[in-house]
Amino acid sequence: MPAEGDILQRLRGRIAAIERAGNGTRADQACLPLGLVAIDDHLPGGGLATSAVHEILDGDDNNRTKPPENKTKYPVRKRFGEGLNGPVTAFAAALAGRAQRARAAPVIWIAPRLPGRESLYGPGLLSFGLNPADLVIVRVASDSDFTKTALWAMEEALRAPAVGVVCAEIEEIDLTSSRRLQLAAEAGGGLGLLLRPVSRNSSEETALPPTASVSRWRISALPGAPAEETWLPARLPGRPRWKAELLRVRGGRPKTWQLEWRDDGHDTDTGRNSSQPAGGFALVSPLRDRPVPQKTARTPLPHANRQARAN
Amino acid sequence: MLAAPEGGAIRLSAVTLMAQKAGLFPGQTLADARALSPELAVHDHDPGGDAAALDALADWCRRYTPWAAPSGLESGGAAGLWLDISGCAHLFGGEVAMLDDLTGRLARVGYTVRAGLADTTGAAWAAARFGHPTKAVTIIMAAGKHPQMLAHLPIAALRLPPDTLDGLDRLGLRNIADLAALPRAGLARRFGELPARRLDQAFGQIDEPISPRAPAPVWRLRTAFPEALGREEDIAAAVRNLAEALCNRLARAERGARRLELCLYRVAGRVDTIEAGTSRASRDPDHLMRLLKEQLDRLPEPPTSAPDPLSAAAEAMVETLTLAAIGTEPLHMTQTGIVTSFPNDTERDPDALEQLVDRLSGRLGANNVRRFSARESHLPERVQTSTPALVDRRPEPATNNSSESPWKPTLPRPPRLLTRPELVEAVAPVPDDPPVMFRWRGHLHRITRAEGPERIAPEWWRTPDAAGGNTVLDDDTRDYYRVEDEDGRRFWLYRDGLYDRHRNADDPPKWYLHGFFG
Repeated sequence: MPAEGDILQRLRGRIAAIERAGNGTRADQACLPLGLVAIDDHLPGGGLATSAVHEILDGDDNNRTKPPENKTKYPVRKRFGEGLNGPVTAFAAALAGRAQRARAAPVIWIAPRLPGRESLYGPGLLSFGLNPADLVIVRVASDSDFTKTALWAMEEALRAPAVGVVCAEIEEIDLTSSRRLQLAAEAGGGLGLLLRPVSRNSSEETALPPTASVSRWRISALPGAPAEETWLPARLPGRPRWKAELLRVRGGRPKTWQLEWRDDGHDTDTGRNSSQPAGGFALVSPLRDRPVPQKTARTPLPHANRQARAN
Repeated sequence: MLAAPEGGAIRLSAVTLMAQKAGLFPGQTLADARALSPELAVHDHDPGGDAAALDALADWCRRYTPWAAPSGLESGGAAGLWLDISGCAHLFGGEVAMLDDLTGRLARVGYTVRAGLADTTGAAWAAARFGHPTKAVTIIMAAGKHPQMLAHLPIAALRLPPDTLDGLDRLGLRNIADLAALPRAGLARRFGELPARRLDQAFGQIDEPISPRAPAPVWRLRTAFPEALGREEDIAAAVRNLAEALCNRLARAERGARRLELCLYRVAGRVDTIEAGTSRASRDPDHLMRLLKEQLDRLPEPPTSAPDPLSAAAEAMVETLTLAAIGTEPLHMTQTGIVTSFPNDTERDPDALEQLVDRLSGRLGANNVRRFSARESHLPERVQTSTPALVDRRPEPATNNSSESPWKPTLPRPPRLLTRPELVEAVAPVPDDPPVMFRWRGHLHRITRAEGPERIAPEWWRTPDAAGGNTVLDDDTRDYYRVEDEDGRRFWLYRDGLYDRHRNADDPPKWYLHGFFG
């Protein structure tokens, strides 16, 4: 019934206006499509809402699979709060790159200062579509005041209308702070990405305190292929693959996708126009339907070996 | 030959040397002069034009010293300039060489020049006009010798008005020594205080500073060309160099230019001055250059007396350039150039980002708000450098074609790189093959997929010393592998050194973890 649909539409609009953290003067919130129909159709508004803060949790934890075998010999990372893993960095870079191109405004990336530790690497970011030349890195001393200072920096950056995207690697955040961020994002109009390097155990939905963020994602690495085929070291890694869990989104439902990053920027043979954005999201095809990757395996897998392993 | 109406008759106001030889003199009526030599070429006297030309010449003399001023038009079409060359002569190879250069250049252009150099302004004035017993073009009164030399000069060398000179002459006073011997009180009673003051000025008992036409700016840079420049592109390039140097100096003093003055000293003894102002103190060479270039392109065709276009062009060539920031303001380190790569940010306030960076830098420290820039290098960690976003340094010119940018990796690069690669325990049973497992920070990672090697050779042109620091990392060939562990996490490992070099079991090749792929 069309009338019923209209009513629903209007109700949804009203609820959305109530739910908006700010005064709700922006009638239609702009959205940043991810360029992947499967996700964009699922998200309310057809993409990530800009003028909003989104959380992206780091689903990879070094302590996840194996407990440290020799605790005395190596300094063990207590948390992954020392920095983010590759997949979540890449995912955030891909989103920031899309927003950067859509809004033509610089990206601010707030991260803890870790001397001698991992840092963002421009050529790698570029392959996920984020131009490092338009990036401003803000390093916050990783002392006891880190969270406070980083939140201040993020709020300042979100409020600045000249800024397109603000990425901040902040682990702990409470409802009040996230509300402040959300209000700042609505004032400035930029996209806020809160990259939270929370460990696996605490990142269960119940364990995380609620925030005012519009959506919450968890990105983790995805092995290139099912486990029974990965025993041979000579297999190639192939394209970056992530498990993207949409844990929570305002006005939408959680869902999980298996994503792949098609970075065709590396393909110098195709002669792609360099002005085109490098790469884009794609769904991981089911195994049997997957086209043969461009970079094929060095040696075809002997059938007998697979059989033997299955036994 | 110049003539002007004076007292009901047209009188000569200035005559050329040739006319002087023919018996003509300033003050003569034009009718008399025409009777003497009917072929006279007479032009109207234009005192305003003369003064302007003298001012222009004084400006041109600022190529020698910032303290150049016209000393005024004199009767008979003569005119003088004062140059305070204190501390400047050595730049031109000494006083003699400087004066030779000055007079030579002016003479080539067609001026009749006489130059005098002395310790005091008055003595120099006298030397230039009366100190030439042998018709020498230049005369230098050596330091401290001017009293003796002045003594023999006529009183006219004291810059006194004609009626005073007449009066002194009637008293039988011929040269300066005669005048100096008189008691001052009587002199002052008869002729006013001027003769005594001129005496003191000439001898240096009282100071007589000259006022340069323009206050000497501190922020002045000068470049002289061994060969005069004619092409506009060359001039623009030279101006650009000056602008960059000036901006560097301004940056060191944390100042920005509000007003700029560019002087082009032409071969013809003329100077073109361009002034440009900025709305906000700036030391961005690109910005300043844009301002100057705009006017540089619109400089009017210089008026010339040259008979043919070729020599006119030669006269218009530029020998020397000076660029000065005549107005500066304190300008603390600010953001420049971050938004230049965005084509359509006209509607956005470019200051907003600067202000944000200012605020962030203010609280977190300028070192903690940084921008990446790329440079050409094989070594992954050297490709990327970062500089404080506040530091007023231009990034390398942005290439529109991003495929040429050093950022653009030809092979996959991780979005996160360990600034210091970390040693890992790796098990690599097959030479030149990726390891099957590695242990990093106590965790064992079984490698399920790998790609490589990508061999990155050290940059032999960089000595380990120049590399600064991580010499251990720089002195060996690296074989990089992109590996994936059981959980799908991807790492960038490398083996330090070629496998062959580590044949013996005591010294197995070392493996390092360098980055994290997405």
